[in-house]
Amino acid sequence: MIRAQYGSRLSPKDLSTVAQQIQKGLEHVDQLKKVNLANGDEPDFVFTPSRPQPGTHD
Amino acid sequence: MTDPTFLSIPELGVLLRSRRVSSVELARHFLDRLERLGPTYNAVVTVMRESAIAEAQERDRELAAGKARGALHGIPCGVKDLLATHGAPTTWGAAPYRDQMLKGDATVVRRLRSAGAVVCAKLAMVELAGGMGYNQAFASFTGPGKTPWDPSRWSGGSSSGPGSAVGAGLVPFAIGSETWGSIQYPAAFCGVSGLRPTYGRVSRHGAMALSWTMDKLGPLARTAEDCGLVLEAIAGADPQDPTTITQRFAAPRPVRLRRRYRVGILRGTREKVQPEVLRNFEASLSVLRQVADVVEDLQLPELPYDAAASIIIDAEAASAFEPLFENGRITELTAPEDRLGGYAGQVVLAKDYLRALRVRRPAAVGLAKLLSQVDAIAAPSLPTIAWPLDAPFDKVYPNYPGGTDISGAANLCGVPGLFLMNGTGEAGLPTSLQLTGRALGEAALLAIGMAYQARTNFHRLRPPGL
Repeated sequence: MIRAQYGSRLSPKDLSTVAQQIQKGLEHVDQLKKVNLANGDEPDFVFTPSRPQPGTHD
Repeated sequence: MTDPTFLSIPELGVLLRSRRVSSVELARHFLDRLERLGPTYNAVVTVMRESAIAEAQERDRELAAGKARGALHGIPCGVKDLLATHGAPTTWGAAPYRDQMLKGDATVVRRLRSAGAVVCAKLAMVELAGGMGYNQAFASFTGPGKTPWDPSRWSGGSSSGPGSAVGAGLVPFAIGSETWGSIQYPAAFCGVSGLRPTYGRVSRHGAMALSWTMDKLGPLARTAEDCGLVLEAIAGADPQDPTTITQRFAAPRPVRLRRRYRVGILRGTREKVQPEVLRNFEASLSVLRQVADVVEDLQLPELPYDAAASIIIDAEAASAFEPLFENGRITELTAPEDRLGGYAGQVVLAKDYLRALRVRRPAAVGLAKLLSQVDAIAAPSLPTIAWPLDAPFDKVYPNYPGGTDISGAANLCGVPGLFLMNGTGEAGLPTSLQLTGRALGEAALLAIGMAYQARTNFHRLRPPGL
């Protein structure tokens, strides 16, 4: 994907460096996978629907 | 005129209110220092002389009319150059944005002025707040930040200018930001006090986003008391930042402590730090024992805090800075590793980012449970003194990587941290004590920090020649 999107500006050495960084990220993911999560364990963010401004109508 | 260079905010306030100095005189004093000494430390991006003098004149008129806005009335300050300020460039420390003019002021800048502070300068920073993975001090178009204690060494980052400007007496206080370590490092390396507030305590509106769910804004100043006074001015709910917390913050006053505090030490904290860092940490604990019970051998729950924080920052930064990748201007960044460091973030899978966010919840619950046993967890802020400017970060002090490190967990979970100079180490450079507290527990951290500084003099030490 990186090669397809940005390959024209990245040398083979650059791509090798990026590949190493992606590998490091995957190692982080492996660490996260050791934490047991149930289906109901939600991401820790809260979405707040925008409320209409006073005086506006649909 | 009394030399105001290294005075605290209350001390400057006394001079102002007793008319021994005017706000304009103070502003001119610090503006002159910013212009004269700022380049020595690569601390400054833009000096705002004209607007600062106008603000100071207004503060003097108000004082003459008997109106004082509070502790910050007439006090000069600087802000990290990721905060929008109308009429001055906001560069984010990065060459592609060196001419960027943003409309309006960041909420923090607006609140500082509303509290009477005089904004004198936009202060240098690591490009894009370090979000592209820099591995050396030379990672800003304004040059490497230098600590006033030894300009051949790094100021720390990414709030490099706020750290060195406060440390060198170019401003009494400054606003920095921390996503992961960016107040901690400059406070430690520049020998100043720094406060990383609870996530959501301070509005991020108008601040460059590196990571929407981890960015925090906070003060670097002479003392813990100063940090509290600044936080009181900038904290609070902001409709323009829906993550802000409504609970008010009142700075603790320097009165006798009403109770003994409890300070915890994590198992492994003392490992792999420089001998002088360890010596100063033990001495700090001796002082803290005068006001606190020290509980040893606490254990941080075993969870992948650092991995989760890394994935969250990578993914959010990839989105926040996507235009730089799309238009190719990422190649204009100063540090070569920053020109490549963000690509991996472009391909973080959505499910992995979401997994990191899901892990954050048990991490926050576990950390909160640990912190509920104490008012603060104490540790050396960093395992070593400031790093040399000319060495890659991963090659300096390989024998001292530090022991158990709470900073990844603390930043992932958004809890506050206070950083205080606690002595000098190798080559006479500052060492530092960190106190990590519960969410919204800044007042306890600051009270402990104030008690520590009432019994020590390290916050009064000046860099050589200043």
